[in-house]
Amino acid sequence: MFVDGINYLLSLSFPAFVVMFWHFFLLELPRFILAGVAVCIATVIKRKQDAPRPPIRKPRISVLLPGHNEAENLPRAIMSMREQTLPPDQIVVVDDGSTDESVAVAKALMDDGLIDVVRTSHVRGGKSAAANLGLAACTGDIVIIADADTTYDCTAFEYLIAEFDDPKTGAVAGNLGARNADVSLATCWQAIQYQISIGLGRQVSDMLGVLFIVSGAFGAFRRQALEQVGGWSVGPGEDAELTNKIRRAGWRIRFAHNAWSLTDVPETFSQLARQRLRWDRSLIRMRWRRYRVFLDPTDAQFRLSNALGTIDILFFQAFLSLSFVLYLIWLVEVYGSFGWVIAVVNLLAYSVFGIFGFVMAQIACPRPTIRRLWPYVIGYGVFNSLFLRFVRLVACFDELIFRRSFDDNYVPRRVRHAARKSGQDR
Amino acid sequence: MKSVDKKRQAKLSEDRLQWLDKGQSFMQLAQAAPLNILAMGTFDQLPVNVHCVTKGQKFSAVFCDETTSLGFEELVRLRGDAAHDLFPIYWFGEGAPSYVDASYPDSRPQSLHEATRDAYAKIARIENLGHKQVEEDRELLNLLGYLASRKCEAVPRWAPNNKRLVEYTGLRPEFSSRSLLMQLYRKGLLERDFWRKTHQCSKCNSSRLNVAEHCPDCKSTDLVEMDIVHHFSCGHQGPQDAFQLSAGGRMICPSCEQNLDHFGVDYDKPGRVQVCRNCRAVTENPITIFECLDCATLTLSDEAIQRDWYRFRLSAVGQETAMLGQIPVTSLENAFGGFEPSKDYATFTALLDNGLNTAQRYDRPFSVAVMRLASDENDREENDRDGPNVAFGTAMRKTLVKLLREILRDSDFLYAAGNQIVFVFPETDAEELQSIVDRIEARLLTDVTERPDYSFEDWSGRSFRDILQGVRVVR
Repeated sequence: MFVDGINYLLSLSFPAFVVMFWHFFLLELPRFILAGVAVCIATVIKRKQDAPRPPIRKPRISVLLPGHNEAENLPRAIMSMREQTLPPDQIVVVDDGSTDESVAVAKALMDDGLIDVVRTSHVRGGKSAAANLGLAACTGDIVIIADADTTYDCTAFEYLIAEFDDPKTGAVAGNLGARNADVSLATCWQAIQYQISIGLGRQVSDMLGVLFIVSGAFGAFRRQALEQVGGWSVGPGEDAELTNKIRRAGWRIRFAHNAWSLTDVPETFSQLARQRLRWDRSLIRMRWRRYRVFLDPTDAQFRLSNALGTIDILFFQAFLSLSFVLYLIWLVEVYGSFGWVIAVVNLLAYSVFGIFGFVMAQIACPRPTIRRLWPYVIGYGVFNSLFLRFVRLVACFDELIFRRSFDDNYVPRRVRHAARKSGQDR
Repeated sequence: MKSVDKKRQAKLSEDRLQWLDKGQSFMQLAQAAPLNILAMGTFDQLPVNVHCVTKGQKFSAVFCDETTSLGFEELVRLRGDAAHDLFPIYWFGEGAPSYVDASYPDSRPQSLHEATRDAYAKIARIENLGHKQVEEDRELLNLLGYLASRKCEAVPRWAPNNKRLVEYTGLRPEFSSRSLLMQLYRKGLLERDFWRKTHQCSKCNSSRLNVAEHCPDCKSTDLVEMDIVHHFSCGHQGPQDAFQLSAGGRMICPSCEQNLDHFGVDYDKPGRVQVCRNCRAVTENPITIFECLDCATLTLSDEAIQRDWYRFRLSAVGQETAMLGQIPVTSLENAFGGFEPSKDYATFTALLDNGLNTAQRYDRPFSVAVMRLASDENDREENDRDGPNVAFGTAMRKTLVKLLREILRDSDFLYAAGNQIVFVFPETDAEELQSIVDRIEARLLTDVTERPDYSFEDWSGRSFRDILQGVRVVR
C-alpha cells in the first residue's frame, strides 16, 4: 500500500503535489531556503575577511558571569576567557547563593589574579538578580554576559567586540555550539540543530535585521544600553526580554557568527524535553504576553522590523508547531488512511530539508567538529519536525493556559511569586 | 664582700647621676670641676668650665667640628690619652657620624653648653663603671660599658656599603662587632631579639648577593615562565612558545599544524614551566643561586652560610657586670662543651661503673684523678691571694681543652662540673698517671703566660660510691 501511495504521488502533477504538501511548500520552504541561500551566497562573497579585523577603538571589556553552584565549571570557563586573543579587562563573577564550593573556588581564582571581582549573594535570587548585582561592578564599555558551563574559542571575544564598531549596535549575540556533541544521539542532533537554528538561522535574522535574542550564555552588551533599559528582568527568558528592551530603546542587535562558544547540552531526550519546555514557555511569555506591543502600529516606538521579527518568531516557532498538527488532521480528514503515506513522505521531505539546512549551515557557518556529524543528519529532520515541535506545542499551550513559567524553579519561588503579582505579565 | 661594697658604691653613684641628669643648671655646671676637652677643629668660645687640651694631653671628652675625620684607627689612637676608653664624642656641624654621643648643627654657645652638660653626665656614668681587671676582657667590657653608660641598645641596620650588609650603626666602630656582641650574649650579659637573616658568599663571605633563579643546565638567569600546552587531538604537549601563532593570534600545534581554537575542547594548560632562553632547557624547578656582587662567585641558596642578626640590649647581669668591671669566667661545662672525652653525668657514671668493674674483674690498673681550678678570687685560698698565681680564666680554660685534646687517649674520659674536672684513665697505673699529670702541668706552664691556680688529687683507690660522692659535692 505504501509503494502504491508513492507511485500515486509520483504520478501527480506539480500543482496537485503542492496542494497536497501545502504546509511544507507554503509555510516552511520559502523563508528558510531562500534566506539560507542568500546567507550562503553572502558568506561566500565575504569569505575573504576571515580573520577578525581589529576593532577601530579598543573598548574596555568586562565579563559578567553570574552562576549558581558552578564550582566545577568555573575554572574552565575563566581559563577560556583568559585565553582570548582579545582578553577582557575585567572579569566579574557573581555567586548566586551557591551551596557548593563556588565562593571558595572564585576566591581562589581571584587570588591567582584570574578574576577581578567576586560578588556574593547569600540567598539565591535568580540569574537576573545576580547579573544586575554584577553589572554595578562592571567598569567596561562593553559587558559580555557569560555562563559558567560555556567555553569560548580563543578568537570569540575579538569577533564579538568587532561588531561594536558600529555605534548603533547595542548588543551582539555570539554563536553557540554543543561541546558534548558526541555523547549521545540527542546531543548529536542538538549540535546539528544549534548549528542550523543559531549558526545559520541567526545569520538570516541578522541579515534581515530581525534578530531578537542574545543568549544569556554568550552575548555582549554596550553597558550604556544595559543601564538605559535597567538591566535584566525576572526570568526565565530574561535574555530574550533584555534583547527586546534594548531593541525597543532603538539599539541594533547583531550576530557574530564567528564568535563561537560551546556549552554542554542535555544528554537524554527527557532532559532535553524539560529544557525545551522551559525555553518555549518563555517564548510565549516574552514574545506574546510582554512584547505584543511590537505588533501594535499605534505604539510610539513602533518599528516595522520589530513587528516583523516578532511575527517571524511567533509564526515559525509557535504557529508552525500548531499548523503542522492541523495539517496532519487535514490530511487524515481529506485523504483518509492515505494521509499517513503523505505524512511519511512529509517526513522524508523534512529529512531532505534537514540535509539542505545542514549543508547551508556548513557553508554559512563552518565548524569542522559538527561537519563530522553528517551521518546523523538523515534522522535530524524527523527529530526537529516531530520531537522539538511537539515539545514546543505542549509548552505553548501549557504556558498560555497555565502560565507554567511562573512555576519554573529557574527563579526562586519568592521572586517568581512577586513577579506574578506585580502584574507585569498580562 | 668586695663585690657587695662595689654594688653599694654603684648604687650611690647612680643616684647622683640621676640628680645630675635631671636638674643641673648652668650655675651648677660652672661650679663643677673643669672638664678636659680635646677640641678637634676650631671652637671660638668654649664654656667657662671647659678646659681645652690639645692632642697628646689627657682628655675626658672630644668636641669635633665638621672638618674632623674620625676613623676607626683615629678612635683607637685617641684611647691612649683618654681618661677612659669610652670617652664621649660631640659633633658640631654637618655630616655627623652615626655613633657620636650628640650632634648639633652649629657651634653656638648654646650647643656647646648642652654638649658640656651631657658630657658631665656621661663621664660621671663612665667613671661609675668598674675598671677592667684582665686585659683580655677589655673590648668586651668596653662594649658592655658603652651600652650601660649610653643607656642604649645595639640596633642592627642595613648597610649596603659593608660587605656584611648589616652594621650596628649606633655603636662606635671599635665596639661595633657582631662577634663581641655574640660573646657577651653567650655569657648571658646581653639579651637579644631576632632581626634578620643574611646569607654569605661561599668564597669571600660577602653578604652582598644577588638572588636569581638559574637554569639548572647552563646556569643562565634568562628564564621565562610559561604555560604547558596540551593539544588533545595529536597528543602534543610542550611549552607555549613552541606553538606558533597564526595571524589572528591563535596557537598552531608544532606537531600536527592544526589550530588550537578552544580551551578545554582542543587543548588545555596542565601546568607551568620555566624555559631557559639561553639553552632551551625546560625545567619545573629552577635553582635559586646567590651571585656575589663582590667576587661574582655563585653559591647555591641551600649551601650558602646563613647569619642571624639580632638586636641586643643589656641584661640585668650585664648591667651588673659593667659596674663590676669583671666578665664572669666561662663555666667548665661550657668550656668543655663539644669536647669528645667530656661526658654528661649519666654517661660518666655508666662508663665509670663499667670501667671499675672491668678493672677489678681482670685485675687491671685503673686511675682516677681530679683537677680543681680556682675560677675567681673568691675560690682561692686566703693565703694564696697575694701569691704569684692567678685565677683560671676563660682563655686558660680554652688552652686547657686544647692541650687535653692532645694528651688524652681515646679510652680516657672526664666529667667537668663546677670548678673541678674528674679524669678517668683506664689501663693506667699510678706511675703513668703521674706522667700524664706532669705533662698537663708542663704544657700549662709553657702555653699560659701567667701561672694559673689549680691542684691535682689522686682518687685512684676510691670506690665507685666515693668518687660519685666527691663529684656530687661540687655539683
